[in-house]
Amino acid sequence: MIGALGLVLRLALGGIFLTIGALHAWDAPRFVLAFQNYDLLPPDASMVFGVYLPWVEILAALGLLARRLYLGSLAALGGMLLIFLAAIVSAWQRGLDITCGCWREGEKVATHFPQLVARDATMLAAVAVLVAIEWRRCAVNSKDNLAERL
Amino acid sequence: MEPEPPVMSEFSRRLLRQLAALLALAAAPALVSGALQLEWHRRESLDAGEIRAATARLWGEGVQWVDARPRRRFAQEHIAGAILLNEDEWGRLVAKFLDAWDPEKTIVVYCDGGGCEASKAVAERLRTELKLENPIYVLKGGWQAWKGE
Repeated sequence: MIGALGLVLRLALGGIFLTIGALHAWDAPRFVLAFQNYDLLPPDASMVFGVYLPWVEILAALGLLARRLYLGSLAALGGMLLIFLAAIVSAWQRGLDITCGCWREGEKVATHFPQLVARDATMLAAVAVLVAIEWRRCAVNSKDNLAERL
Repeated sequence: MEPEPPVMSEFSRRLLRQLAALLALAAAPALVSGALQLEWHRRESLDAGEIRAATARLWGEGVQWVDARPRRRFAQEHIAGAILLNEDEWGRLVAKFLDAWDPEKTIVVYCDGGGCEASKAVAERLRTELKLENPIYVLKGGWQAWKGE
């Protein structure tokens, strides 16, 4: 049961991030602009992250799908999701519309923040479940190794 | 302090080692992609308050262009949607600028090229005299950079 859940989450997260990463890497200037719309980093830093992060997304997704650098991939995805969540919440707090990077004081912003937070929080929970499954596997293996040695 | 359990320390060591490897692996394709898509090899460093033409292009409709060149140069050619506002005719042109001013847009001021100071002077006056709260930038390389890209 746990194995099946892990497999489903692994394939789902891998597929989602592989697609997202490829789209971002294909059109880096657009992703850079999306970064700048959060108004958190200076333009140059946004460019660096906007070009670099899609490749982290792609490699982490491949890592999940192929079970290579598996823990590192989970850590990278978890870290990125945490950063994205913090950026979304920060924009929400400031009343910043991240579809354009502009403030629309007194107006309803076009960005649907609750949906964005729910989406990223769900994926973060999925990463946490996969880390927990891997942790359990490591603990069991370690116990078996210890028993063999004794 | 109690020592870390062996499973936890092995688990976290493996996690950090793999994370470092993954982040290092991502750097190579990112450099290639950045060089191809953003043409970093031609970029010079930016001074405070400057912005590159490529970045301003990405901002599209979110930019209010201000042309700080003489009227004659503006009349010959200018960036689409730009408003003329130079130091020589400041008193006469500033009212027209304020009519078109949009508090939600990022203002980018440009003059002829890398050596001109007019755009910096106009940007400074927009900040200090008009006390605009919009982000205000000067276009790196000015009109020549815009035309050259």
